Amino acid sequence: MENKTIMIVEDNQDDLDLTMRALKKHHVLNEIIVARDGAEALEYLIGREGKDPRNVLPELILLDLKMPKIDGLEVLRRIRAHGRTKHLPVVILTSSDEENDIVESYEHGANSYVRKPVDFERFVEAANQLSLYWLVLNEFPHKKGS
Amino acid sequence: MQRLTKHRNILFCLSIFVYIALFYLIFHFYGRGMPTAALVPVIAAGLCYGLRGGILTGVLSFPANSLLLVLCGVDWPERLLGGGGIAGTIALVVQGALVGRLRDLDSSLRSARNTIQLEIDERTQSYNELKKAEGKLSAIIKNSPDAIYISENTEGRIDRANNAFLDLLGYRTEEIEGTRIADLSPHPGSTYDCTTGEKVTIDDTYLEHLMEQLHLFFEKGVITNWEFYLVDKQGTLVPVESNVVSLLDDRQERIGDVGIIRDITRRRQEEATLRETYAFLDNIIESSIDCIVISDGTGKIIRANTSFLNLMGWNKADLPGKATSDFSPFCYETYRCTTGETITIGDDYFEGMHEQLTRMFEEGSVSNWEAYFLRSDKMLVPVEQNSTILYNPQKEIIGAVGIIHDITMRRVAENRLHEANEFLDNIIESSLDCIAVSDKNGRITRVNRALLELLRYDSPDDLIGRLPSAFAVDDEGVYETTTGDLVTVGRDYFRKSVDSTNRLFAEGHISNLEFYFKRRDGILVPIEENIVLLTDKQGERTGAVGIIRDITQRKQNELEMMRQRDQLEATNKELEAFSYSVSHDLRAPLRGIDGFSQAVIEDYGKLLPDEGRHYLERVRAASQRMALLIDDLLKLSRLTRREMHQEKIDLSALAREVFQNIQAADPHRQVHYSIQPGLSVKADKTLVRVLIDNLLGNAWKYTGKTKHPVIELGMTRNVTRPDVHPVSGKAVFFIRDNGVGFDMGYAEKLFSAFQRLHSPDDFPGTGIGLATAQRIVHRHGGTIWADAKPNEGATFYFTLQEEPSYGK
Repeated sequence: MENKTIMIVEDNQDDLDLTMRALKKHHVLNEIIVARDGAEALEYLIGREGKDPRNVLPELILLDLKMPKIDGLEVLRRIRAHGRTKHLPVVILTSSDEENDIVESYEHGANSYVRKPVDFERFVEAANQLSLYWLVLNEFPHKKGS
Repeated sequence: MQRLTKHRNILFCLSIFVYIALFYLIFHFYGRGMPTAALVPVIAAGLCYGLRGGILTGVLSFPANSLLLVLCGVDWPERLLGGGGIAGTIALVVQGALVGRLRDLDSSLRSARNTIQLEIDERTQSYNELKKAEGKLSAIIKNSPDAIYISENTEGRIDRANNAFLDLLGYRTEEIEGTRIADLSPHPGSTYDCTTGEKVTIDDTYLEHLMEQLHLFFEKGVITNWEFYLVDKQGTLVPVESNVVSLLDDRQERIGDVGIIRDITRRRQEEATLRETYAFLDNIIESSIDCIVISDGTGKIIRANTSFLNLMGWNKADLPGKATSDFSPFCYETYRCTTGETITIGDDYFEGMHEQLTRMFEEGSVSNWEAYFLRSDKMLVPVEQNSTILYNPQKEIIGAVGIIHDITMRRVAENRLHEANEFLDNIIESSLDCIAVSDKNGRITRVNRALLELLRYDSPDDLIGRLPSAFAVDDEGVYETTTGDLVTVGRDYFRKSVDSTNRLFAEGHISNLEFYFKRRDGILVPIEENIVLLTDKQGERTGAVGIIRDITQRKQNELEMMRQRDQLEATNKELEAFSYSVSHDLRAPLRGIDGFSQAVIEDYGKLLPDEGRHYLERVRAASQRMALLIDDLLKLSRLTRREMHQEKIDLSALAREVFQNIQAADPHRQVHYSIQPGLSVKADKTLVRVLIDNLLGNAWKYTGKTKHPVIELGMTRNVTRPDVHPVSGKAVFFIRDNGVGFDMGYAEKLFSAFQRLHSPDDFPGTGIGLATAQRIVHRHGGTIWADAKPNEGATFYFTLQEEPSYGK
């Protein structure tokens, strides 16, 4: 479990800190890669145009939807469009509970949709369950090959 | 002798001449006078004039002889007074008297004989005539077409009967002779077949009449036109008419009768036919619905049927003495009329009557003559009559017959029609909508003021007689319109126009047709038109009516509305973006507040006094509540934006389901609920579920502290919303609970977002539920209101359909 990395794509520092804290509280000691917006996340995952990405892919991406430059849905679309990343589990972690956002997220291939609770304790709970499920219980096809 | 008498004067004069001649001859030859010569005239006088002539001539012979002697020269005194003269004269007188007497006797004898001869001649003649007459009479009797019998006895036995009599009754001569007339008469009380074809019973009336006639006959000895019956040999009754005369002897004693009998079968039959014909005519006249009145030449009514009596309000007994003038109204009088009007009879009325009467006398009849009859109750009845003058065969006027028809109803209908027409005229003229009527050729026959004003024409004559193309757009192009915009009229416009016309002729009417009319000044007016083709009873097209409305204002409103809709859409979009950002951006700081407060408590809690920690907890609680409020607010705004899908919903089933969910979330509570079965409504199912969820959830919540909570959902039609919308008679749903209720004073705040009538400590919540409910109801065009009392419960009423409106 320790060698599995989590990517958090989040533009809000508060949310980022709180997410990190929530994960830590549940002793999720995995390496955490932080991208501060969609562009940064895509650069890390699939590289700049014309360049091959060298970075190790994370085991799980926690993706915010509302971000400057490239928003979460676009990031998701591109992840799923790229052969290297198309099977990566992506959990949408966002403030919105708009029906539209939920539907579109799943349509773009999100594996899960979680709304950030305001109550921090529930946030911690959610983060715990997320990491437990996606990092411990869930099996991915590419893991077997690597 | 007769010849002598005839020529006696000549004879006597001749005798005088012979006397004078004889006297002269004798005197001449013998020389002396011959007074005896006077014997000639004396005898002649006696023969001619009888006794008195003889004597007178004898006396006169003396002076005659004397005169002759003097003339012959004899001395006057000597000769004249000689004795011979006087004696001779006396002898002459006697001679004359004798001859005269003789002659008289002869005359008497002759005349007596003549008289007897005459009498004999006359008698012979009479006898011959009588014989001739009797022969003729016998022939007449024998051959008379009338039956004749003669009875020369007082018992009435028939002695002779002619052929006609025998034929009449079918007997032979020997059978009839000696029979009494009474034996040929029918028996009282018996019924016979009659030659007329009827069956006749000889009743008392007949017998009484017979006896009466018989008495009359015995009294007067003669009877004429006596009608009675005889029975023929076959026993058939023969109606006859008879004249009977008694035969009397010299002492005026009746010695027999002669009867002349005529068979009147034919006449009886004709009379019966005539009676039937009369009865038939009578029935026709009497049963005629139309009034029939017949007057004589003086105008006196001689016949009127029941219809006429009813019309006039007369009884049959009133009729005698009535004249046509009795039902003529008087000039200058004012009457009430059966039509309900009040009518004054003026000169014009009488001029009209006079004209019709003149025509009737000229042409013999007049038809469809309208007049007023004065009823017995002094009311006028308008009538229509056909009158015909009746003439006798000599072409003299003997009366008139009038067939009269009460036209009150027609007049009333005409009056009503007139009123209706006026009414219609007023409506058409005062209509705010424009109205145009055209004939079957499409030519305008009528326009109202509104249309003239719309098209800027001054007088109906500007349009009447023209085709509607006078104010139609006739060419493609760009036109100025009354909405203030320019409009392009293209080929589509004319195609639509042709389509509409085709549809109009196919269906007979066309509604809400939108077109342009061209005003006199060339500016187009947008109009909406309904056109109906007019047809007569045979379905033939007689024209069309168009009702036209100027929709300039509406068009302007539509444009305005379109602008507003665009604006609204933009606003909605903005609102959506706003909501989205609210959901994201407003919550993120709250998470920060909550999360970091918790972090402080966790990491530095030990450094803080209890109070500090408590405050941080309060910060967290406040931020969480705000998050809740934000969420609810978002939900509410989503309801507004959500598209609706109307479908039929089983409200009862839906409510049961919702209630079971609520119960499942709070399984410890015992709430009695009743949901009226079979409620259904056409609405958006998702929204209605939210609505019911909110209302039932509310009821659940506010009965939380009630001992025996009861929640009820039902439908009623007998409730009216006390304030704004009358919804009487409409289906109104209600959800009633016996919870804490509320003070109606706060009812107004009830449906506003975040307004609460209870503290969150008593009953948790954000105050968005009823605002949500109201929004859902409003989106369905319905209305929601509450009725409550503190501690007695609350009832929420709502409808889910639009108010009924016209034209949809």
